[in-house]
Amino acid sequence: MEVVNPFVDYLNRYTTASPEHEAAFDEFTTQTLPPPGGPLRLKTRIETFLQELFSRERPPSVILTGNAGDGKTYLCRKIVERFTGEPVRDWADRLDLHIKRDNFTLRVVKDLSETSEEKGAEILLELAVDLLEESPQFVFLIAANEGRLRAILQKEKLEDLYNKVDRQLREGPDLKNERLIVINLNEVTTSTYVPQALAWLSNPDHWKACEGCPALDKCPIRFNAEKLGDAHIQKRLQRLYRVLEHLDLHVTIRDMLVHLTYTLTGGLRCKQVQEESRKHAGLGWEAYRYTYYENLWGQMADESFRHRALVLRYLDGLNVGKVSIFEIDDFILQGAPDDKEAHREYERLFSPDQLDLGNGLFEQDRIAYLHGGGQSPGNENASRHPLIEKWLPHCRRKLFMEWSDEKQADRLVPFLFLPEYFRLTEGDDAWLNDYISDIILGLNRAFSDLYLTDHGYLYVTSQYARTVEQPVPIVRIRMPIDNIEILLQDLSSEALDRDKTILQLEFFPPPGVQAEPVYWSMDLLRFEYLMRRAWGGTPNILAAECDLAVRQLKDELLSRFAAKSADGKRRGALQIDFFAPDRTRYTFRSLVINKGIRLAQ
Amino acid sequence: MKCYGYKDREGYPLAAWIWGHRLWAGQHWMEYLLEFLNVLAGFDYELGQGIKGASKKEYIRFARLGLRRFVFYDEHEKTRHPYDDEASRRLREALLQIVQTIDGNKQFVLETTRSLLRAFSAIEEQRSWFAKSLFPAHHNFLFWEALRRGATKYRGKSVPHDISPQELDAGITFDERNFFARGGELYYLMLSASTEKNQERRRFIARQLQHLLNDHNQDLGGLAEIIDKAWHSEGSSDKKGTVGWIPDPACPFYTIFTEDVETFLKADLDSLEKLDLLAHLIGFHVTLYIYHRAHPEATPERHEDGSCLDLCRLALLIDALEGADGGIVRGVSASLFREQEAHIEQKARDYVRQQVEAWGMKTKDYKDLDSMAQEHFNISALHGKTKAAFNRRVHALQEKFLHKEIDWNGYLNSYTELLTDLLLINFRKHFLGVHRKLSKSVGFVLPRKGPRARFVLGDNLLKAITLSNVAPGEEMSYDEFLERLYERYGLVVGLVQAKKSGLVNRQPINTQYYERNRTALLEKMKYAGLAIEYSDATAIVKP
Repeated sequence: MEVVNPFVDYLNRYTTASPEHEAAFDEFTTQTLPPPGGPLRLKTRIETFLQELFSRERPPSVILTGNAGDGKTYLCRKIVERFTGEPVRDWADRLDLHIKRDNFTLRVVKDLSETSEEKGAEILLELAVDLLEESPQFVFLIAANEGRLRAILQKEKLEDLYNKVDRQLREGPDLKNERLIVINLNEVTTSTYVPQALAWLSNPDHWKACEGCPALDKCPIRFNAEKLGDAHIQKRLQRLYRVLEHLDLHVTIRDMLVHLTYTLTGGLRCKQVQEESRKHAGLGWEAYRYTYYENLWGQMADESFRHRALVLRYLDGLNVGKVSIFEIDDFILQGAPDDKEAHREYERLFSPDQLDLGNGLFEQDRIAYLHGGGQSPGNENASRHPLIEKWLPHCRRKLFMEWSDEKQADRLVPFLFLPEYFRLTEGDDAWLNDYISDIILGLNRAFSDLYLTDHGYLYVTSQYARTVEQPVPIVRIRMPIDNIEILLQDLSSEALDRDKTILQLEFFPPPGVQAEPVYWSMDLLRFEYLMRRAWGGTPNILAAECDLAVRQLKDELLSRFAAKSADGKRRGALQIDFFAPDRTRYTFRSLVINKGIRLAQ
Repeated sequence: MKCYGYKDREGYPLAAWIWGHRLWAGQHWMEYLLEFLNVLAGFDYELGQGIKGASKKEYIRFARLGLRRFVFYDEHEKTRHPYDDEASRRLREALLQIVQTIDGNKQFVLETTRSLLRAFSAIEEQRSWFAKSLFPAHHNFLFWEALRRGATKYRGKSVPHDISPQELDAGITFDERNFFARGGELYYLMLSASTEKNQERRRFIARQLQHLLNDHNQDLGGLAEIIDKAWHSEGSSDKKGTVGWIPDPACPFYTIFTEDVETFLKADLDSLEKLDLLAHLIGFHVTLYIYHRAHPEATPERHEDGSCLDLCRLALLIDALEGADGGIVRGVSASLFREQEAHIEQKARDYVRQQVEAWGMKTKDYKDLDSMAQEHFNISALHGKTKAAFNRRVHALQEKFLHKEIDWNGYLNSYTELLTDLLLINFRKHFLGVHRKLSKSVGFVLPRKGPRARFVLGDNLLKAITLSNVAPGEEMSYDEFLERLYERYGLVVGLVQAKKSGLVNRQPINTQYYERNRTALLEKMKYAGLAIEYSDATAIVKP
């Protein structure tokens, strides 16, 4: 007897929908029959904000930018529905929808990239004109990709509009503006919606249809559905998404939905599961390989899905399964015999009869590994033992998601300073000052490319890069550590879901220089890079990602703060500050030239 | 043919008649910048000098022997001379006087100073001290190439103590032009020629460079000055020099260079980086100049009326894929590189042939013809043995003509061959390698050593070119940028330009390679912070 849960089919259509055509995805979700537990209704702040905005007597024009999948088309649809009072049916050809009101006409352009170049230019031109009118006849709601938008504005030389758009994109939306608001959906932190989405996925109403299924106890999908309802696991999954956000990687809502549904189903279908469990009746098929924490890193995903699922690619670098930390690996193998509480947790996590541990397979392999027997590893084969090859990565992932000792679990993420970074950004600003000297030391080393040891000052150096001799970096700026502060910058907004606080460095001008302070955001990558350099790491780690940003900071500091030419003359004496190689290290030296040459101490 | 510059005689080697006097294979790529800046500074930061009618005929050459001996003349020096030993000793003594210390360790201060200045060494290359250069971080770091002849052959017993500084310096000459071989002068002339009618641009460039060399790194400049002054050589005037010349001053290609330099100088960069990138830009320009004039369609008339820009546009395929495509694009690019080299030699041959033809119409007297050729190509300056061999063969040919074994046309043809063979010896030795050396040094051609050299855009060169085309605060679409690269320099990256240039037909490869090449260059630019790509694949160049 076959039992099919229609919810599973519904979900699989999410993962197979083509990500190329955004509109197609949005339309698909509105045209299919909703699942038994109700369709997903994500409550987003932006939708609320827009609804409010467009219920005003005279709303401002709005431009929404973002990637395909951020929900631009969806939001346009919602606004149109509100205006017309009925759901939108056929949108394909209506690229510039006019809806008349009493004192204005709402024009909705659900995708500027869909229009031809001329039409796109025309629309923006009309918007530009409209903005200059006292009582405009149109109000625009335009969804566009940033690149296309900028390109058209540049090409048509709509300078004024370009500047308005550019400013709001760079500095954040001007929510009080009565004529034009530009909102970049790229700024949304999708991690905010992870708990909502998981709650919907695991809603028991969707899973009632499973009753009577012969494979009920052996089904990974159902197993996952239960697990994903657990609050702790939801939080851990959200945390992974948070890490991505702090690495400045944007995940669209669609990307998240595709990823989370795949996490749940692993691409499996009811029929498949029932067949497999019939075939491998006694032995138990490898259902455990479709556990949610395997799916979420795409362990069983094929190449083409991997290519389409952006989040899988992003998470690849964070695959905790690949990280070997002795204490944790040991915990997996033997638990914590000396710590009663920890060991109780171990027994809970690794109790043998769980589906995700192969219904006893893990226990078997574990004992074989520890106590010998036929598969006892010799030296050469140690790493090929199924416990090491297969189970350790698997269990590391499990621990990351389910271990109550979150601090330990976080060690599995290959960022040495992740815990500290999160501690700081999650509001513990009492600690901020403790990190300043490490950051300064890291910057000193990054700027000069030398293993400097001074962290009482920030040295911004410059040197002739192509020298055939030993490099001697000239110090252009020497700032005391008191001139530099680490700040917390809360990026939340009333218009968008943006739960993100980042670190920012503030550099005050050195004594004697009149200039505005320089600001530099420090995301997780940059923080990790500088801390590692401060703690003796080699320059190549994360250099590819951070070199450019560090160089740009250096250039900005030099351009704003380096003493201008006049100062040199005014001082009467000329002074050259530099780092001289001095046997085992580099020492800061100053040569003063004033009718003679003197080495200042 | 129109020349712009200073011509002090009638005869020049073959390469000069096509590419100006002169470009020389021995010149290091950094020396084009150094020589250019030396000449400009020597003309008191004015372009357009040194030519007929200008207010200054000669530029000052900075000797700065004190500074140079201090920085470069050390225990490891390979070209020692007792006079330099003595001069160095006296200099040290004088410097010890002006060094102030608390702990009395004056040597340490001097050593520290020395290594600080040494860190700006731009060209060491196993040269003697007088041929080494400092990176031009400041005006006071500029000095002209020098030579002490017979340095290792000094036969005197010992240096008398009362010998004057002038005498110690007297044996050092500044005219050798082995390294400052006039490449920088040519660049100066190119910028000058193309700004004859644009005084504003001319002043802007000169002012910017003056500012770059004088208003930055003044501390280093002050240090260099105080050291150089410690070597008193009163009464010795700085030397002077005259510039070479360039052909066809109205050629619009020169204007492209000037526009590039003008835009580039506006960039907000650290002064040291700016000068370094400028050196790359100059090397790039000079290489293109060589190819432009070597183009088969190039004639003096076309350079004069400006049609050379379209008719002689190059088509150089840039390989941005670095082998990722299995070397297909590289192969095409390499064959285009070889083609340029073939054009250069062909141009030289054509020139000789055209000249002999023209002379052959003016006179039917073989003696006249020979003397015109000898004068025009300055054959008297050639090596004795080669000259003699040539004369012998010409004599034999003349005998044949006298005995009516060949007619006048036949004589002309054979004479052309002999003359070409003679002139190509030096041409190949001293000119042919210029483009290779220069293009490889600035990152325009890879690999630096080895076969299958092809065109690329190294990181520094790419940055220099981008900054020369996109002014601060401006931006342009990536497609526009690629179009500019083609229109201005003849560089082909993507399919659009490959089609326009006819490359698609000449060297048929699957068009997808051009697409991948285009993407690869964009990736490079993004990585270097020169371009941004938005999520919908719109790409903007914005340094």
